[in-house]
Amino acid sequence: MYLNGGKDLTYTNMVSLSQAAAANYMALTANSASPVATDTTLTGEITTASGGLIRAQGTPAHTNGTSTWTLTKTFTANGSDSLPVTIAKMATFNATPSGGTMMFETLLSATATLTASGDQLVLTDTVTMS
Amino acid sequence: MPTIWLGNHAAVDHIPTGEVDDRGEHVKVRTPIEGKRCTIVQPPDDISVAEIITTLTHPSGVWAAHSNADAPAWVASTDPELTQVLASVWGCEARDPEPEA
Repeated sequence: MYLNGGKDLTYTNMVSLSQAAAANYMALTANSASPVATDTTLTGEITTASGGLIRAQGTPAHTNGTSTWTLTKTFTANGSDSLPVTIAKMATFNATPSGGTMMFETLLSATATLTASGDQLVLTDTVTMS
Repeated sequence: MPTIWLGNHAAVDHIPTGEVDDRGEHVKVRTPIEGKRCTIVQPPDDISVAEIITTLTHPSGVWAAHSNADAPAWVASTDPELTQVLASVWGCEARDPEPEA
C-alpha cells in the first residue's frame, strides 16, 4: 500500500527543492494486520539488536522503459534473532535503524517462517509507477 | 556502491489491472515487453558478493522480477571481479560497462 507519508515523500524527492533520503530500507514484521494509508510505523517491526532480520538497505533495480522498479533484500537469520518467526508484512523506509518516513507497507503474498540461524528470506517489493 | 547492468531480452513490466486483492494490494499482471533492454541494479556497499548473487539470482530476486529469461544476455558492472562472478553464475557474456550503448 502506497501510504500517505510515502506520497508526501514522493513529492519531496521528485519536485521539492529540498530532497529527502530515498526510501530504500526494508523492514519486517510478524504482524499481519492489513495496512492502512495513514500508518506511519510498522507495528511489531523486528528490531533485535545485531539480528539479521532488522531493517536494512535493499537493492534497487529498474529496467529501462518499464513502469516498474524493485527493491530486493536477502535477509539471513542469525543467532541474535528470536526464532522461529513467521514474517507476514514488510515496509520500506527512508532511514535506518529506526524512524524515517514509511513509504510502502505490504502484506506478503505468502508468509515466510524462519526457524534456524542461517535461514534466508529473499524479498522483492515490486512498485509500479502509474 | 557497484552498479550492475544486465542485458534483458525478455523484459517484463508489472501492469495494474485496476483491481485490489484481499491484502489491499493492487493486482498487477506480469506483461512481456518487446525489445532489448537493460536492467540496472545498485546493491548497497555493505553486502557481500554472496548476498549480491542470491539477491539477483534467487527465484524471488531481482532478475526473476524483471525478466522472463532464465539469465541475462550479458552482464556488466563497475566492479570487474563482480562482473566475472555474475557472468560465471549465469553462464552469460561479461561486458565492459557501457551503460549508454
